[in-house]
Amino acid sequence: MRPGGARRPPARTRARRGERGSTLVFVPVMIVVVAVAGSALLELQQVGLQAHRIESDRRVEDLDAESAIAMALHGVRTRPDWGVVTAGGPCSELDHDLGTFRVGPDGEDREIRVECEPAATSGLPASGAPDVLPNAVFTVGGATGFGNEGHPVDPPGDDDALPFCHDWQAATSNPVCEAGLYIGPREDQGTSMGGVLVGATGAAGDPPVVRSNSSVMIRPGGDRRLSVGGDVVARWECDPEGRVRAGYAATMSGWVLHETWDNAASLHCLSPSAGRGSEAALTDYRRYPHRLAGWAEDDDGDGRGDPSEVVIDTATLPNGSTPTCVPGVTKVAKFSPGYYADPAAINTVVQCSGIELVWFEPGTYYFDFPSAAVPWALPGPNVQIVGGTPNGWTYTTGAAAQADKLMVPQATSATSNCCAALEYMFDIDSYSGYAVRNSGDGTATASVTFTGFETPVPSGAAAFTEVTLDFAHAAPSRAIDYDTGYPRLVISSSGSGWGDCVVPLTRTAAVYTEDGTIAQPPITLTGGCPGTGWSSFASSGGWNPARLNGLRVEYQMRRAPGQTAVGQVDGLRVRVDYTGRPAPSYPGGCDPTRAGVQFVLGGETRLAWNAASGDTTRWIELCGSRTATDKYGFAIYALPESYGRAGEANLVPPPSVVETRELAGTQYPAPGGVTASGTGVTWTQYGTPADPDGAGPLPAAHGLQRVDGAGWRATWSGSRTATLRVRLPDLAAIEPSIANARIERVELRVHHREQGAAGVYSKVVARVYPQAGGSTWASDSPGVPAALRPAVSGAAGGVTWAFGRYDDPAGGPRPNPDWPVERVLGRGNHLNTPARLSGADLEVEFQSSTAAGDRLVEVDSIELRVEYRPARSLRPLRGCLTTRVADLSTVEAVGVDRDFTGSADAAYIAGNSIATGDHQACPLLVIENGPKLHVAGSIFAPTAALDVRGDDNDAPYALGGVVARHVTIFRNTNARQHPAFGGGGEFQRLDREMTFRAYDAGGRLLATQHVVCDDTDRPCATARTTSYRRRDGAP
Amino acid sequence: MVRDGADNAPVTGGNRSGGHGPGSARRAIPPADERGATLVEVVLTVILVGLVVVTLVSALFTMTVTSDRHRRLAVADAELRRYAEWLRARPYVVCAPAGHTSPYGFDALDDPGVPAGLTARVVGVELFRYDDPTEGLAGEWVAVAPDCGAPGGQVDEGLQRVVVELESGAGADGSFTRTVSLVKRTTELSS
Repeated sequence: MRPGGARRPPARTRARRGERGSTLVFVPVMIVVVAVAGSALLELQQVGLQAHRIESDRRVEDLDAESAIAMALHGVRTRPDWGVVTAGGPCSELDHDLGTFRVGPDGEDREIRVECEPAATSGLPASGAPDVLPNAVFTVGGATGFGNEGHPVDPPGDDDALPFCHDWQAATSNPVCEAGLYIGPREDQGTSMGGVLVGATGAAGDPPVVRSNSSVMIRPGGDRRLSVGGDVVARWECDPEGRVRAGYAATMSGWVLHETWDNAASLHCLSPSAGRGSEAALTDYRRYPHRLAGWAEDDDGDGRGDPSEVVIDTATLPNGSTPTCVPGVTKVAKFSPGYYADPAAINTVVQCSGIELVWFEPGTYYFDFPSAAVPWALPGPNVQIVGGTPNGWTYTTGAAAQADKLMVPQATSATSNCCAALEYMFDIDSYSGYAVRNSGDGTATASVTFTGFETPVPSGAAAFTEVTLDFAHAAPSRAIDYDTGYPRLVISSSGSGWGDCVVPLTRTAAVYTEDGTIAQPPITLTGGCPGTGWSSFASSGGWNPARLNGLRVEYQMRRAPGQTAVGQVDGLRVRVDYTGRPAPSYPGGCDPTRAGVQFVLGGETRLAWNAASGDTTRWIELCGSRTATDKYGFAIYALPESYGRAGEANLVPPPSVVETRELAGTQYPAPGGVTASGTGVTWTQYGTPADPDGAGPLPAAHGLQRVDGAGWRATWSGSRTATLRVRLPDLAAIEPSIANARIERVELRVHHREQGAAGVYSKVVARVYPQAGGSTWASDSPGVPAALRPAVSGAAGGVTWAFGRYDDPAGGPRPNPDWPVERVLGRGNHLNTPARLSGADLEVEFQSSTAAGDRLVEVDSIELRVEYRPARSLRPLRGCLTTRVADLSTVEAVGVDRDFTGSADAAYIAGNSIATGDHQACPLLVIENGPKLHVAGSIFAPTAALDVRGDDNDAPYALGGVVARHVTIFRNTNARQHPAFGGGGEFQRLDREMTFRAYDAGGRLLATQHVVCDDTDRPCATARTTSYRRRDGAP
Repeated sequence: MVRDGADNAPVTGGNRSGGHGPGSARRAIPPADERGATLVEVVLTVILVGLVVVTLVSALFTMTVTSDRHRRLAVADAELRRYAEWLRARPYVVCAPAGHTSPYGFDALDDPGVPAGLTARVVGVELFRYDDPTEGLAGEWVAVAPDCGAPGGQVDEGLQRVVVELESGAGADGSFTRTVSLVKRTTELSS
């Protein structure tokens, strides 16, 4: 109720806007805003700091990556073979990982992993030229052991890849078999001359220039020395002559190393217990991708040919075509690739009177000569042999335009204060040549003269359309005297009557420097002298062959008074275009950058290019070329025997086909093929032929398991003779490939047993009655030792007599088999041809003594195992292939294929004994007294000796290097010193081009750097970075 | 203290219900939502604003200091990087000249021009030794005396690890040092 009546309700007061308290609301808002702003600022700053830290870390990573790549690049650029795409080592197509590098300050070491990937053409020889071998000379040497036959009974650990020095004499003689590298004369030669071997680049990190798995011998006396621009590694250091002797006769810029097993203190350094076949040194030998042309590529990347990839069909090698020669008429002859088994036919051509050029077209030539007694003999006088793509000449039997024949001077003379010969010269724009030193008072003239252009233009050449002199030299400014026209060339031609042609070497666009070689613009002599002289040139008829071949070029240099000037003649050659028959240059007759040749030498092939004395008018030049299967351009490829086994390089698996038949079988011999005879003897068949090994009637594994309890049984009483004869069928009807085949080995086995008391049988005799004029053979002939004759079994189970095997049927290998005797069936005039084998009779005869009593003889099997190679199939190299022992102080060694029965010319083997002295007739290749050999490529002959004692060979024997069992070298010098082997730097290579990638420990890519090495002068003299990207590609 | 929501006069006491009696002044009773809490708000506001201000000032100070350090670090790192690049571009030198402690940084003409307040120097040079130069690239860094010690005693295989240190001048938070290392080859790449 309202007091006082109705009351007006109190007016409701409306609050004014702005009177309400809202400050507290704004304050938190402000706080929040300020806090957020502050936090944002702090966060911003933190982000900035964090970003800086991250950026700083990235910079450290960048530095680390750059440092690691720098280390990797340094390693690669100082190792010439690294970065070469096909080299197989680090930074090749096979191996990109260079490992991890520790970078960062000490204590903060961080590991950066670097990969290096070469470009597809990195380091490859330009224009198809072959690679050079890792070692200019790699000699395998000989070693004791069972050799390289690869026979399953070879003792464990025996190395099939080892050459054929076996241990006939091991029990009593020096186990050292053969030297690796020998520098010096033969025993019957004088001692005045010296051998020189100049190695390759000698750059740090290079592989050894010379690597010998045996000794390195430098015979004292004369100027013999081993000059190597790098390292020499020898396995044996033997005294007194089997040794590497640094400081005495060897000058090496590198190291002389003897590997860990070297026992330098002993006379014969390799302990017989060292373990045959386990030598690590051989690893390198196997690493060479020794493959024949036409073989499959090394797909598994192990650097070796793979046995499973062998595709060559050794039975279908095409015959090569041997040209005919009409003495006095034929001037040039051409061989075609293919199979050659007749050295006499080859000799007929290369020794044909009138022949001047023999050309082997590019391709693969298989030489398989039947006897070492008939080798490929020395070509006739003035014969040039060239294998490969012609270089500057055109093959023709008539006259044709021949362009750019290169004439290189062979002889030099020096006058005044002249001439220190430097390395290899006369390669235009090479890096060495002749130094011409001119010092002293006055203005004396120093000169060097070049004459004697060998491999001349032929006498019938005419129409000389171009005669140009290429010349390169370097001369310091103090040797340049324009007032008097020095330096200059004085050119003359013997017999021309022209006098001298003086050509000042003017300053042209080139700049004379102390060390820069100047390639002078070509000096054209086509129309006469471009300088002063030769006024009668035109009136005398100009050029003719005699005048060209008689060119004489003298380089003259003067110097300012009181000065000393050293100039250098780097190269000189004459280019001639003419019309006539081809006349290749030497060296340079073939082009190693184009298709080359490969001479595959097998069987008893030998190259005996030794002249009577000093005839230097004949030469052989072979060019190997880089192919898909042979990067080293092996122009000479000596076929090892059974080279390899599962997992190893397998050059030529012996294509032997084994035919084995057994007497008691139901398939062989044919009905009527068995003749059982004997007066008073009863022959019956017994048992049931079995197949104990389950491999069928002709199991591959033949042998004692053939004793299957079935055969022929003879019974008689008293003194009788029982004979069982088996006639062989026509083998060609069974196996067509045996027709015209080479019989490699024939093994005869008889399993028999005789029942009765001891002494009731007098003997067992096996006989062979060949067909086609072969001689009958009997086991009791005088040449067969008693130990090899069949004996009465004397046991209930019988015994297997075997003749012609490697192993002893009773228990493994025989240490001293008498192979010349045991191989008589297959090698002698018995069963050595398919014609003599087919239809031959095999006989076993049992003779009983006069003692009374019953006799019972069982013949369980007569087996004949025939190994043969189909016609025109390759045989591995065999026979007499050695020349000297490792240590001439003892002259005790063996070195012959044990299969080789020709005792007359087997080195160190005469029958079953050892011989002494050198065996010049035995090496695979002999160059002596004049003939020149130049292989623009490499030589591969791991089982053979090379004996190269060329007289002024004028070029390396093999530019790319050599792999051989033994190398003898001597008298390889003349005024032009050059490598005997190696020097393959002349094969121009493409620059190495690599991509480096750096990764951190977590595998993150940090940087990518692409580098191109300039290898023109020296390995990676400059490294040019073409791109550098960080992480994700940001430059 | 409270405030009258009507006239804003302060009310200190009295019968707040006297308006019901006769004779008493009719005073409007303000509505409840118009009552003032102003003093509390003000006090709280002052406190909070103070805190905010203090915090803000502190943060600003920290930011200033940090920013300065950040700037100095950035400058130092940049200079260190520049110095490292300068060293990398210099010819490869193995041994320090007589009287110097480092193969690098001794030539005034080649001074990289490190700004004032910063000091850059090479504090260590090591050479790389391959375990086997003919084989792989494995090896180790070996410290050498700056002058390479006795003649012939130095084996240089062409790789150096150079440790560079940069020291800042005193700042608000004192001085600091930064260190990096780089690897030099005997022949520098030309990019």
